[in-house]
Amino acid sequence: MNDSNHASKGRSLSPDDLQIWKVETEIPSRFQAEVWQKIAARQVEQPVWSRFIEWITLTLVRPQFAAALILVAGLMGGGLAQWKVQRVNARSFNALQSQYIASVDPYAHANAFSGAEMRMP
Amino acid sequence: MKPITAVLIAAVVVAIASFGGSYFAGRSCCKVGLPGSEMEWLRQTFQLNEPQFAAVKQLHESYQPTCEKLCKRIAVANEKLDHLIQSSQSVTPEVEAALRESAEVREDCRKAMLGHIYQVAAEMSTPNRERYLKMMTPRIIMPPTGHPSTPVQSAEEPPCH
Repeated sequence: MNDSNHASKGRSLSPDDLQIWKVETEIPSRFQAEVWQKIAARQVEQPVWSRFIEWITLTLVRPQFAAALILVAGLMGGGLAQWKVQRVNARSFNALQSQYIASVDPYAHANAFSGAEMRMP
Repeated sequence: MKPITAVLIAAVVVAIASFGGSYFAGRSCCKVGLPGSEMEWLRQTFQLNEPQFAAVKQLHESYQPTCEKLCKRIAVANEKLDHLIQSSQSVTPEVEAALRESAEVREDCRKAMLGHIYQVAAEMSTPNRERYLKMMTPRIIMPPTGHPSTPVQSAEEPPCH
C-alpha cells in the first residue's frame, strides 16, 4: 500500500518494489480432482451419439482422414454406378437381342403385323 | 463454413461425380427401339470388324423383302386358319387345307430364316459364329406361332463390357 501511495505521488515503481508485492493464493487441495470430476460428469451426461459426432467432427477435419473419406466416397459412387449400369446394360442387351431377332424372324414380324388388316378374300 | 461441412460437401460432390462418370462410361451401346440399333448391337456383341459388319448389313438389308413377304403370308394363313377354326365344328377339308397351308408357310419361313442365319454366321469369326448360331437356333427349332402371346426366347447371356 505504501508503495502504491509512493507511485501515486509520482514515484515510479522499481523492480524491487514489484518483487515485494506478492499475491498470496491458496489452491484448494482437491482442485484438480474436482475439475476432472466435473469433466467426467459432463461427458457422462452427453448422449453416446453426441459424443460420437463430436469425435467424428474432430477426426474428419484432419487432412489424412478427410482425404480418406473423399476417396471412399468416390469409390462408393463408382461402385454403385457399376452395379446400376450392369443391370441397365443387361436389360438393354435383352431388348436389343429381341429387336434383332424380330428383324430377321418373319414370325416375330407377324406378331406386330397381326393380320387384322389382312382379310380373307 | 466449418471445416467438417466443407469435407462432407466435397465427399458428396466427389461421390456424385464418380457415379455419373462411371455410369455414362459403362453404358454400352445403342438405344433400344431406334432404327439400326439392333445392327449396332449385333456388331458389338459379335465383335464384327468393318468388312464383316458391312457384309452382314448388306445381307440383312437384302433379306428384309423376303422377311416381309413371309410375314404377310403368315398373317394371311393364320387369319384364315383362325377364322375356319372358329366357324367350324370339326376338322373339315377346308380346315385341313388351311392347316397344310399354315405348315407350308412355317416351313418356308424356317428355311428362309435358316439360310439367312447361315449366311450371316459365315461372315463371323469362329467363336462368334458359334455364339450367334446358339442364339438363333431356338427360333428355328421352336418357332413361335405368329401369335402375339409367343415370347422371344433368349439363349445368349450378356457379354461383359
